[in-house]
Amino acid sequence: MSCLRINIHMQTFSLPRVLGSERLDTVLSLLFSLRDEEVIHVDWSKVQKIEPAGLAILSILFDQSIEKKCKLIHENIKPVLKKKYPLILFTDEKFSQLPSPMLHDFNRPNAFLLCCQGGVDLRYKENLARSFFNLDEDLLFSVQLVFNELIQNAVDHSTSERYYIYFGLEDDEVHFGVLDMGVSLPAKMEQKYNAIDDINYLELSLKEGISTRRQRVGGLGLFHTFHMIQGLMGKFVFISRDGQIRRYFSQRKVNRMKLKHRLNGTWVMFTFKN
Amino acid sequence: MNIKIKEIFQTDYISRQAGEKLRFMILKAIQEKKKIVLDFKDLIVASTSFFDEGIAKLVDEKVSVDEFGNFIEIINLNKNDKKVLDKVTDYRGFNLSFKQAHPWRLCPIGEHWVKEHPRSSSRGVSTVVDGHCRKNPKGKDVITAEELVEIANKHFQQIKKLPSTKSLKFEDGNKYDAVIGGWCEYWNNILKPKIDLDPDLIKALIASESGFQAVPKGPKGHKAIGIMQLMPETVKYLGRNGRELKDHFVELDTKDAENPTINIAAGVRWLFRKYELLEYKLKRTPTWEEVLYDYKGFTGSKTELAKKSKLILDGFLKELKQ
Repeated sequence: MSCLRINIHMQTFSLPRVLGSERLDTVLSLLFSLRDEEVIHVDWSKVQKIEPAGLAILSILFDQSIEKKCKLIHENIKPVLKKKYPLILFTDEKFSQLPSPMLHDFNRPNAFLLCCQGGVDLRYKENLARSFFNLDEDLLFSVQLVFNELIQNAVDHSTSERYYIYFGLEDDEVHFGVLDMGVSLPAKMEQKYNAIDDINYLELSLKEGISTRRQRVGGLGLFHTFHMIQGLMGKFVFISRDGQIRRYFSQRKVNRMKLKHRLNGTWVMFTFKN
Repeated sequence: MNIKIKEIFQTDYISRQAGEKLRFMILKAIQEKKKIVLDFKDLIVASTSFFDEGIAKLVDEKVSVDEFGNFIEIINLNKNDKKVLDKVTDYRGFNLSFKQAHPWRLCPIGEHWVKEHPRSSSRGVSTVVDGHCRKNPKGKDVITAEELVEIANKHFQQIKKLPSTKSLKFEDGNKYDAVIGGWCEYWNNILKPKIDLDPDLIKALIASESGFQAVPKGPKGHKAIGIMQLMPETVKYLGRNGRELKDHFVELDTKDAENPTINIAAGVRWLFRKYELLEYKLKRTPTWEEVLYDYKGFTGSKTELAKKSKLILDGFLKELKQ
């Protein structure tokens, strides 16, 4: 009797100790692999902490695995994490199509995540007013200014229909950002502008008078918004397609890097001192 | 007609689509010559796009600032939203009349007051030109020495918050109370600090600087001017050519600065600039007492003179608060 052996190649990705806006290589590599693999093992043994940005990233991972029809097998998740972060990712329920965006919503006194779909969604204002009313008025205004600009970018330029907003207060730092998995910013920019690579497209998008809009042209882009928040001490991470910009406002330092694994979407993440 | 932005733009008051809707409403009102009030009560817009598309882009529709001012009134706008609106309208060159300065001002923002002055024509005929507003090329808020005096004469009799009536044992200790209260109220309204500047602090500062003497006697070579002892360089910094301020300039010369009314106005304005600089330096909101110490040069100074002067100032502050 002959025996047929089938070798199934299954990749395992080990998530970093802290899931947040830093050390994104594994997560990006995992997201990139979803389209080619049927099953992926995700090892959680090192994970100790999920930052607010991590909440949004995990929701994206979940949605992308359903869209790309790749089964994620999560291993070694510490029970404390499951208890602390009751995310859709940790449920046993099986989904054959994208779940309702509301199922991603996460509300805690020190952080929230909203999954928005189908246009401008200002629910975040209620969350801010309810849980973070005692933060500095000017800081909250700056956060809203950035959210509003990024929400519009996600709605106008991304065709993913879904975007993820997070906000949280951790270790006296304010974390917030907007992430989408739509048409990336460089892809949209190259319809109108010429730049040598994706890093330069990202830089270009932060300059005065740059806008990819075709209707209601002559927008202000992100320039004025960024000009207004530069006084806040903190960090800004901007990732789209092959480019990555990390700007440290307090040190007036910028790191521009090519991503090892392409991100088909746009992630903008901020961290400010409270 | 009162348009409550929060009700009309319930689900979206941030996007360019929403801004476009607002612009059409404004255009309709102007075309029909109907007055409308845009009420931003209970709302933080925080969107450059909404204000840009809704208001700043009226400049592309050939709407003049005067037309806008005649038919559109903006009320209850949050101070940070006002800054955003100022920024986007400035960017498009649409300097709104609603940015009209303080009600005491003689001219709208973007213009400054020129007092009555003689003019000779080419035919040699000499005429007198009445006081009038003149446009500033960059559209910024500029207040001149003449306007400062006019404002003080007209409005400082009815100031609500005056400093303490204690004279601090100076002969003229209460002589400038209305002027101190007036300029504190004015600059608090214009510059909107997180905590309003208390007139008592200015009174204590003046007591320690000049003892309420308009022309205090100082040692030989002493350059500081007037009741608040402004340095000639400071007088320069407050003007448009001083390269220190971004807006809300005080245009005067060293001779003007000898006038106590003008000197206090300029001194309080300079104190607000010190507040900004100290906030940046300390990376937190400073107290007004810390700003006073900085004004007097105590910050970081360990000299005996600084310690002694600080004690004197603290003494005045304590006495006024009692």
